[in-house]
Amino acid sequence: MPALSSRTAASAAARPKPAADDPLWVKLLVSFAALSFLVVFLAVPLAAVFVEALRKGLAAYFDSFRHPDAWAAIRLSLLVAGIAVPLNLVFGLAASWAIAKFEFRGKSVLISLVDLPFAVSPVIAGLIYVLVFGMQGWFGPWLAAHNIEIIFAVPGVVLATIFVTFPFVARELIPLMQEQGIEEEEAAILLGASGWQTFWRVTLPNVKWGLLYGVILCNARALGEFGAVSVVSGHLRGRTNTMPLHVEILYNEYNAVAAFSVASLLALLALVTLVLKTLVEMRMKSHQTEEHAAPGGTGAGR
Amino acid sequence: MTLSGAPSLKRRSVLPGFGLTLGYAVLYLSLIVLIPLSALFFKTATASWDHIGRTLSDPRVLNAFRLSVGASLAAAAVNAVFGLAVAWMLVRYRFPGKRIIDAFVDLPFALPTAVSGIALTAVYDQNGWIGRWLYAAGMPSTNSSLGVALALTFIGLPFVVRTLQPALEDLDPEVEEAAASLGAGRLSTFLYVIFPAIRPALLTGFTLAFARALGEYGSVIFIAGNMPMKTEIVPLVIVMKLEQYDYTGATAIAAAMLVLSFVLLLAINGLQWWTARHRAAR
Amino acid sequence: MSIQVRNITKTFGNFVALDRVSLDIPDGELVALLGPSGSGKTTLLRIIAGLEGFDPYEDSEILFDGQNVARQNVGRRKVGFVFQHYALFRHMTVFENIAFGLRVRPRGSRPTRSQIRERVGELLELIQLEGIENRYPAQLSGGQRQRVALARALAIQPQVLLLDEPFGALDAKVRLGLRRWLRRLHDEIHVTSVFVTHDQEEALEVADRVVVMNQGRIEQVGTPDEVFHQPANAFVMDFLGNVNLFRGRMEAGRAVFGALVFEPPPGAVIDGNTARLLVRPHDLEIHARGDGHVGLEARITRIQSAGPVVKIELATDSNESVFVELSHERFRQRPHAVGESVVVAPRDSRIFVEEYTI
Repeated sequence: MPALSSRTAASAAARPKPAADDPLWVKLLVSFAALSFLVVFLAVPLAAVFVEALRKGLAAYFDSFRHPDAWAAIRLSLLVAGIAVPLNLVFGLAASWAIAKFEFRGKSVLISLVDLPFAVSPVIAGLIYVLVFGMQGWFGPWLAAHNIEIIFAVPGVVLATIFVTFPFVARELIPLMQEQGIEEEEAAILLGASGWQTFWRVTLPNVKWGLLYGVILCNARALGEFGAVSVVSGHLRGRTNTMPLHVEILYNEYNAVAAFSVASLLALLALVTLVLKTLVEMRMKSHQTEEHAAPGGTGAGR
Repeated sequence: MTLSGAPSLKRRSVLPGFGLTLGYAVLYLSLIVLIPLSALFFKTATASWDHIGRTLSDPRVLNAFRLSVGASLAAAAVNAVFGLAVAWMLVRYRFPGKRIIDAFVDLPFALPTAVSGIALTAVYDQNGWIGRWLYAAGMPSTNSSLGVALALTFIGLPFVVRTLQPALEDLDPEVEEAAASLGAGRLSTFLYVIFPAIRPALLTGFTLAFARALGEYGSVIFIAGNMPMKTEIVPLVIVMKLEQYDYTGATAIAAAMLVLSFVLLLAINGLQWWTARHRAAR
Repeated sequence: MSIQVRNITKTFGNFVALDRVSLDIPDGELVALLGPSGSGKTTLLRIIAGLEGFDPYEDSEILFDGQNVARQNVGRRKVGFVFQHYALFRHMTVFENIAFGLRVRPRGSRPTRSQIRERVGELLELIQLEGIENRYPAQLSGGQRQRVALARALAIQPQVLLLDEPFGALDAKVRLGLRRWLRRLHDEIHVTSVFVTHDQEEALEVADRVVVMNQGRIEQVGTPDEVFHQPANAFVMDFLGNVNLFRGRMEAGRAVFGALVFEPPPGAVIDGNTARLLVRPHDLEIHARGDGHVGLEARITRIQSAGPVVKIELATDSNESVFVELSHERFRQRPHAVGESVVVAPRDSRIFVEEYTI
C-alpha cells in the first residue's frame, strides 16, 4: 500500500503525532464499541423509565402521585434516609478521626471491617436483622412480649438501610484524612485551640467536600435500597413501603404507568445525584491542583 | 531509673478524642454490622448438618448457585471488555460531552435497583425497544438466563470503568513513546507495554463486578421471571425460604454465599496489596 | 524563659530515638539542634513542644523556668512551633491563619476584633508581608509561607519558639536570605528559640549555641566557634565541615600516621589503639618534595580553581584521597600542576584516639 503509507508520512511530517495517539480507525472502533455499550445498557433503560411513565399522558402521570400510598412511600423513604444518613455521618467522622489521626493496633482490621457491608448481599443484610429481631430470632419473643415491633415495621427498614449505607461516608473520609496528616491539628492545639475547636475549625473544613461526596452517595443508596428493605419491611402498604418497594408492588399489580411514574421520580433523584457528585468531584480536583500548582510551593506536594 | 506507667494501645498524641471516637466507632460497628452478621453464623452453627446438607444439595438451590455464578461471570467478562473500551475512550480521547458521559457511567450506582429492574424489563421484553430484535433473533432476553446476565451487566458496569480509569491515567506516556521509538507498533505496544500495566486493575474491576453481581437482587428479579430450576438466582431463593419461614434453610444458603463473597473480598484485597507492592517496587 | 531537659529517653519499638538526653537552654538564646537524619533532633524538639511523649522514667523531666511541664496541657505551654512544611491551615487566609491562636482563646481572655486586627497587622509588618493578608496558603511562595507560619506562632506571644527544619523546604537562595532575617528577628524579639537543622552552615551562621546530636545522643554543646574549632570528638569535627581522615596507631605513647608523629591528647594513650587524624582541607599545606618538610607523600590528581578557593585533590601512595583548599593568593605565589609529587602536612589538626573504631 504505497499510497497509504506515503500519506501518513506526509501528515506526520506536517504535524508531529504523539506516539501515544491511536490511529483514526482504532479511535472510531473503540468509541463505537464504548458508546453503543453505554447506550444499550444505560441510556435506553433510563429513557424507557420516562417513556413508560408518560405512556398514558401527563394527567395519568401526575395521578400516580395522588394516591395516599404513594405519598406514604415517599414520606417513609425520606424519613429512613433522614435517620440513616446522619447516623452514618457521625460514625464516619468518629471512625475516620480515630483511624486517620492516631496510630493503634488493629487499625487495618478496623478499616476492612468498615467496608464489610459492601461485601454482603442486600438480601442477606435484611436476613440478619430478621435473625436478630424476628419472631424466631434472638430478641423476637422478648420484643413481642413488650409490644415492640422492629421486623415488618419502620425500625427494621431503618436498620437495614443503615447497614447497606454504612461504609459510604467513612470510606470517603478515611483516606482523605490520612492523606492530610495531623500537622495542622497539632499546630491548632499548640496555638491553644481545644479539641472541639480544632475539629470544627481545622479538620472539618479540610474534608468538607469529601464529606459531602460521601453523604450524596449515602443518601442516594438510602433512598433507593430495595433488597435489604424488601426482606424486613413485610410490604405493608402505606406503612412500611418505601418508594422502591412501592414501585415493585405497583409493577406486580400490572399498574405499569403508576410504577414507572414513581420510578421516574427515583430516576430523577439519581440524575440529580450524578450531577451533584460530578460537581463535588470537580471541586475536589480543582482544590488538589490548586495546592500542587502553587508558586514556589516546594513544601506543598508532600 | 525505673519505668512507670503501662504501655498503652496507641502512641501518645496531643490530639484528643481517641478513646471517644474509637469507642463509638467500634460500638456502632458492632451493633449495626458485627453482631447481626454473627447471628447468621450462630444460626448456621446451631442448625443440624442434615438440614443444611439437604438445603444446599436441593437441585433448585444448586441450580440457583449455578445460574448466579455463571451469569455473574458472563456479565463481569462482558464488562471487562466493554468497560476497557469505555475507560480507554474516556481517558485517551477528547470529544465534546465527555464529562457528561463520564458522570453517566455511575448511573447503575445511583439508580435504585428496583427502577433498573423494571426499566431493563421494559427495554428487553418481547415488545421492548431492544428485546423485540433479540426475540426475533431467537434469543429471549427476558425470563431467561440471558435476561439475568443482562441485568447483572448493567449493575456491574461502573466497577470495571472506575478501577481502570486511574490505572490508565497513571500510565507514563514516555513509556509508550519509548516503545514506539524502539520500533514497536501500536498493537504490540498495547499488548506488551500497556496491557500488563493495567491488568491488575482490570482483574480488580472484574472481581468487584462479579462480587456485586452475585449478591444483586432488585434489578434481576423483574427481568428473570423467577422460574424454578431455570431463572432463580440465589438471593431470590433466600427470600423465598424466608417467606416459607424456613429460617434455617435461608440462613444456610446465605452463609454459603457470604463465605463466597468473603473469599472474593480477600482476593481483591490480596490483589490490591500485590499491586501496591508492585508499584512501590517500580 | 529557660528550658531544661533532664534524662529524656524516647523509644519507638526497638528503636532508641533519644538516649537519656539532658540539655540546658538559657533564657533568650537562639539554639540550633544539629545532626544527621535519625539523630533524634526533631524528636527532641517535638518533646520540648509537648507534641511527643517520652519514656516515663522517674528522673525524666522537661522544665520551663524550673517548672515541670510534663503534665501541663500542651495548649497552655505557650510554645510557638513552626513545622517543617509549615502546616498552615489551607482553607484559611493569611490573616485568619495568624489570628487563629487569638480567636480560639476562651471568651474571657479573647482579644476584641480590633485588637486582633491590630496584632495581626503588627505581625504582618514584622514578617514584611503587608498586603497579602487575604491570600490563601496555596497562593504563597515557600518563603512567604514560612514567614506566615512564623507569624502565626508568634501571635500567641510564645515563651518559647521552636522551629523544625525552618529552611529545609526552601531553595538555596531564599534559604540564605531567610536565615539572616531570622537571626535579625531574634535579636529584635529575644524569645528563647530552638531550631532543628541538618545543615551545619545554617547552624553556625544563625545560632548562639549549637547542640550537635548523633544517634539519639548529644555529642557536644557549644558556641559556633567552640564546636567548629574545638570539636569534642571525631563525629562533631566530621559533621561540621569537610575533613580529611587519616588512620594511624598509637605506638610508644605517640600517635603515628606514616611519617607524621604527634603527641596524643591527654588520656587514652594505650599502645595499639587506633588513632584518627582529622584535618580540615584549609588546614593542610602542600610542599614540594625534598625541601625538608615532614608529611605524607602524595600526587596531585585534580585542581579546581573556579570558586572562592582553589580545591586540590591528591592521592597518597596507599591511594587514599586527600583534599586541600588553598587561597588563590597562595596558589598564585606557588602554583601546582596535576601529576606533581608533593608532601602534604597539616598546619592544624585534631587527633582522636578511640578504643575501638566506629
